[in-house]
Amino acid sequence: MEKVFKKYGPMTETAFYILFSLTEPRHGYGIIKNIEDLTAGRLKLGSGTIYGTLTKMQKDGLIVIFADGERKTIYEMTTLGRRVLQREMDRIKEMHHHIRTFEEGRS
Amino acid sequence: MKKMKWLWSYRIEETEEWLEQMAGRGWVLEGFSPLLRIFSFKATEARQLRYHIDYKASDDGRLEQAGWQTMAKTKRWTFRSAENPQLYPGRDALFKRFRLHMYSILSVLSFFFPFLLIPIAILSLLTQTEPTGIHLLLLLAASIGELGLVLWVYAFFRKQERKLLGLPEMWKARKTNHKKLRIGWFYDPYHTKKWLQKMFDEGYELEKAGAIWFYFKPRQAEAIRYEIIYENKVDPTYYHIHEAAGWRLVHTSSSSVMNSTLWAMPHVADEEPPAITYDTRERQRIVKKNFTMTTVISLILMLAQSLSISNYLLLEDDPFSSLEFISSATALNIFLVIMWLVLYVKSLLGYRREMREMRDD
Repeated sequence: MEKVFKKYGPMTETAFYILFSLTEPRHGYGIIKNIEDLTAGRLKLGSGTIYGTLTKMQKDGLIVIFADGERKTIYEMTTLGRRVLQREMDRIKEMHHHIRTFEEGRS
Repeated sequence: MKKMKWLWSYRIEETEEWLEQMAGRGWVLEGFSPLLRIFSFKATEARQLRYHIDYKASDDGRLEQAGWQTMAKTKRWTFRSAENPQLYPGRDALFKRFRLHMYSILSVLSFFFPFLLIPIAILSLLTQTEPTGIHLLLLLAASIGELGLVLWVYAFFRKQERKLLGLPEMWKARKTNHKKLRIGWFYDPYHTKKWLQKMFDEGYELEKAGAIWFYFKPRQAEAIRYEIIYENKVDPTYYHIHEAAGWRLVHTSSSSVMNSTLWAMPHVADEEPPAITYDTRERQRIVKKNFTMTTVISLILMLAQSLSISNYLLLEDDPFSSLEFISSATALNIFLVIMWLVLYVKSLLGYRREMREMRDD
């Protein structure tokens, strides 16, 4: 378990947003669109990027694959995935807190 | 009622359909014995069921919620049925097993070839004669037989693999297609992509490509982007993800191992061209992987060449004097080697240009 946490802490921005998108089950293309919408177009990911990251995450047990009624692939986060995401969000929240404290200190 | 089905796990969709048909006739799956491949059924009223066969299944809770019932279970296999499922388990574990079996069996069958010489050797030892014409004929027949067997087994597996990967049926070229020949194009992606763009500018859009033939149709899109991707291994997810993002599969090589695929995406002229990846470092990795594969294959070919040359030199007393040295076989060999070297140099130059272009972006 510790190995996974070390590997995914800290996460790259791309990996974070991909895992973050899977707080609800999505199709591969849904992940791309969701991230584009969330970041107002700043993060535009190619399907190659998604494929590579999802393959790695699946191997590490962070996500599982299902298929919907039309046999299209759906990605879902596992319990381990949720824990990894939570750890990362906590880390980012800590950073954000430091930044806010610094900015408020200056004004 | 019990039924035996061999090779059922290599024809998973057919097996599932068969189970569904049985359910439709009032026979529902009760048990499974993996050793003898025996399926046991119990009689009930006819039911419309969907079956799904899972390999190394882990998560049961989620699927139970979606209406799946486990009908039979062994250590590795889980047979589930549901009335009208909106959620299906993934096929990735099954695909990995299928691919492992496919390539192991083909490897074993291929490497069996040298052992064909053993019966011939034994035969000549028993009859105390030198290998004669009859022996060579037997060897030839056995070789052709073995080659035929390997090809037939490959065709069977590949057909099933295409189904698992979700690939479309084999496409037949139309008379209206504009054909162009290009040998070894997947070893030289940079120049191939440039050439395809040039063809597009001249009004030809690529419809399908084979190992050496390219089939064009009249251009319909405003602009197009072609990508040539090499992967050491591909699985069903690979094709799903790219297709869902809008990439059209123009070509994929006939193996899911050491696979080269050509994708196309038409797009609106003014917008930024689509790409398989927008990350420069990832793009560089893709290009490098392709070139590494080309280099490795070149090294293997060179090794095989030098082995056969040194083998020849060892066998002959005075190799340079005999006419066989200048035989047609050797001439063809030299010609092919030169062709390969030319291709490799082009590939190297294309690789360097592509890497440089990415750095300058």
